[in-house]
Amino acid sequence: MKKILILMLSMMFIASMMFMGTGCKEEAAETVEETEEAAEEVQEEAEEAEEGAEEAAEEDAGGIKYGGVCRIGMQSQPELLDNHLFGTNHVLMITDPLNDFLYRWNADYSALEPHVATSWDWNEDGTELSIILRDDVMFHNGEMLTSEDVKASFERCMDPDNGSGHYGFLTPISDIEIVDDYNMKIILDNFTSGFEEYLVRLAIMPKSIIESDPESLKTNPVGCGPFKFVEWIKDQAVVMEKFDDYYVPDFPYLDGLEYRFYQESTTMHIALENNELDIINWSDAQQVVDVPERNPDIEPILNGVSGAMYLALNMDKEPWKSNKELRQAIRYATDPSPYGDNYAPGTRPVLNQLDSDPRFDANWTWDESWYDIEKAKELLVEAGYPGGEGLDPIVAVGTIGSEGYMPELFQGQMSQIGLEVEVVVNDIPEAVAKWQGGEYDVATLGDIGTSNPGFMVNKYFIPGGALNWVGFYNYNQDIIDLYNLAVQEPDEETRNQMWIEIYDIVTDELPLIYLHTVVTPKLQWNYVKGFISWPDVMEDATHIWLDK
Amino acid sequence: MGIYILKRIGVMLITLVVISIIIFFLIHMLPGDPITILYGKNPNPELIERIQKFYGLDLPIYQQYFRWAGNVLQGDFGASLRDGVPVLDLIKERIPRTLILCFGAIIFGIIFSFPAGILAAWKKGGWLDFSLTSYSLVMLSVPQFWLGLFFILLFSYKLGWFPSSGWIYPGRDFIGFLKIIIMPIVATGFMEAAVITRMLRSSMIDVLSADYITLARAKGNPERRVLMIHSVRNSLIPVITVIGFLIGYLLGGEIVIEKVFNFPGMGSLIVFSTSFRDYPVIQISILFYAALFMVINLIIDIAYALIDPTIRY
Repeated sequence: MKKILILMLSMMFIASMMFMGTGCKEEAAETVEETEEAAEEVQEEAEEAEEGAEEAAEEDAGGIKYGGVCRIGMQSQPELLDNHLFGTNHVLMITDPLNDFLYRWNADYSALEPHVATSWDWNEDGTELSIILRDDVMFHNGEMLTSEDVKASFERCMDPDNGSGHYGFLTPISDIEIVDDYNMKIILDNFTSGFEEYLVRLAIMPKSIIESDPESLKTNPVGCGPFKFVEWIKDQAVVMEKFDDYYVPDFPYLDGLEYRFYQESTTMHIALENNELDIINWSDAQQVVDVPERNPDIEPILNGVSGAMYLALNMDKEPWKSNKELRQAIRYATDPSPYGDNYAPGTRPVLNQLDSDPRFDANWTWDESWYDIEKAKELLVEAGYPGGEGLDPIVAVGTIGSEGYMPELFQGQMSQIGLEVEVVVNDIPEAVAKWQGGEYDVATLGDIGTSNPGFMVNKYFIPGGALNWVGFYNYNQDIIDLYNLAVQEPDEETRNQMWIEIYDIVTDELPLIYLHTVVTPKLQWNYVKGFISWPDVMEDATHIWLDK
Repeated sequence: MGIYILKRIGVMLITLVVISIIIFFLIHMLPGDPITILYGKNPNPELIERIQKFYGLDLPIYQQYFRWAGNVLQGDFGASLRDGVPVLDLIKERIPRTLILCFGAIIFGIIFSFPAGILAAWKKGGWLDFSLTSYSLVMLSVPQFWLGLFFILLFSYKLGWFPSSGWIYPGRDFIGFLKIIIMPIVATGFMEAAVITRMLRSSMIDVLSADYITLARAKGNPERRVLMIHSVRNSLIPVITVIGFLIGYLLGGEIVIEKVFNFPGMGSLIVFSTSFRDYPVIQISILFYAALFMVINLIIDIAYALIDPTIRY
């Protein structure tokens, strides 16, 4: 009798576990529908929250609370902590509070405001940038900053032997002239549009360390920012403390910052809800909707980023190189909406890179007519591949991770017009090796924002472009010619018109098929104030204070 | 015994050489290389070539192996290609954490499984045996990542008893360290307990049916003495073998548990290094594990001789 009872209880337990799984699936299906509706609500709430945050920032200026440590969760840890040698945006994000720069963007990304430099001016032809520095900037090792440190920082990044991520942006520099300890000039070969904007990312470090022990900066950074490096617990956290000798009085507001790294997204989000984190600076499509629903004290932040996800065609390989009708067929068979839905709430379809940049009003509007299966089929016939006949399977190469769904989506959509797609999803080194080796037809990629369209054009459309680190590019001679004119065009309006012309060519020629904007969905507790999330995936954590 | 140990050490060294060759060639066969990942194709391909030359990555693969092996024999284990930290420092930082997780889980498993296995064998066929056997089957079947997430949701999120994840140095905050380590240890230990329970039960059932046990009972020995003195000890050989394998398995890095609990152990180091083709770290880590595993097996074999006087080498 006892045995039968125990057997029945065991069977019920196992059955209940199975039904839980089924129920979870059914619930998940319902949740997807609810999530889509919730995503729209979240987007509206995020916009309201942003407006509220701006108003609150003005009101709270006198009500700032000092102290506390803000804990920011991230899913990737940096490969090193040296701003000069960065390879990924994570390095820039994490080291940002430790460093200071000549100037930074203001909170609403509308103008540059002085930091280490009190003022800067261009000469008439835009080839000399005169900079006046503050005389009260101290590095974390106690040394005072002078123009020698600025020059040393630039020269370190300009040295091709150092492999600096800033190198490509500094190639226009022909000389750096020291006038005195706090006066200097940066001299360019020619006027270069966007040069000034780029310098917001280049940290100023002590010349003494750059010359004597630069390797130490990878794991023991020394800057002049409002926070000072304490320790890097590998795979766990980078810990910083307030730098008491920062030149801005009563700043920063926090006692410390911690960037904590999580291998598993679910664990990270549980940690946030458990109040073991204050901010997650890159959430995901599902969690950024679900978490605030469960916990109204956690707010989403969905900043619009001037960047886009795209499908890149291998323009070094036939038939992609010379068959425009085939490229257009791909475009008309592509519905960007599922890509955006899988990426993050708040994304929208775009025709090209500038379409995602709020500074350009070029009347591009993605509309339904760009997704037309019948037109795609007609174009395939014109391209010489009716129903996909005669075309080898398209090799679509992507990476494991957030973009991992893109090759599969591409495969599904192309099957509607009879095209066969072979999906290849690798880890980053393998995928990059394939891209650089030209072993792909379509690469599924994204770019996280740009502060200057010239950088994006250089990256994707100019052969041997200094920013083209992945090694693929989609060039067109008209684009190259226009680019060379634009980068040296001093008049901003004329220059912008050239970027628009370039992207009109891109939109017609379709070496890249743009999909949707990139947003970086973040989550924070509502007691976190002052966290600035900019486009270009950059953020300013130095102004955070905790209202608790 | 001494000669036996020396022979085993000799075999270990040969095995390590073979393993080093296999690992070296296998990881170099993976597409992608670390220097290109770090520095990209641009801005300076000459820089990439120069760095590859510096690390010997431009040499033929067999020359790279001999160069690396020669350095290792001289005590130079190299440095991470990513951040220049010596490989030995990386391992020294992580191996204590993995050892804590590993041995904590094994100890938890033993504490849990020994009474369970003994009881199940003693009451073979009864409801207690059925319950304990079913329980261990369920624990073997439940995915570890699920168990880990379940623990986090229940004990951390709902009850607020423990932090959800991470690592605290015991020297800095011992109570905090205990709180943070308990869930990963238990989540790992449940599976170990299930394996040990089943092995001990099975082994004890064999022993309990032996003639000398019948004789021990016939002589009037209390059942407790029959169990604990005569049966358990004689059942330990296969159990210790299994424990040895479990230790080796856990030392390899419980990557699933490490991922779920954000535990910075050896597993995550190896996975992270493999993702970025950090050859020196991968090579030395795996070699280290191979050596550790062989040493543990040697200790297990010596333990046999201690437990069973009839075993002599």
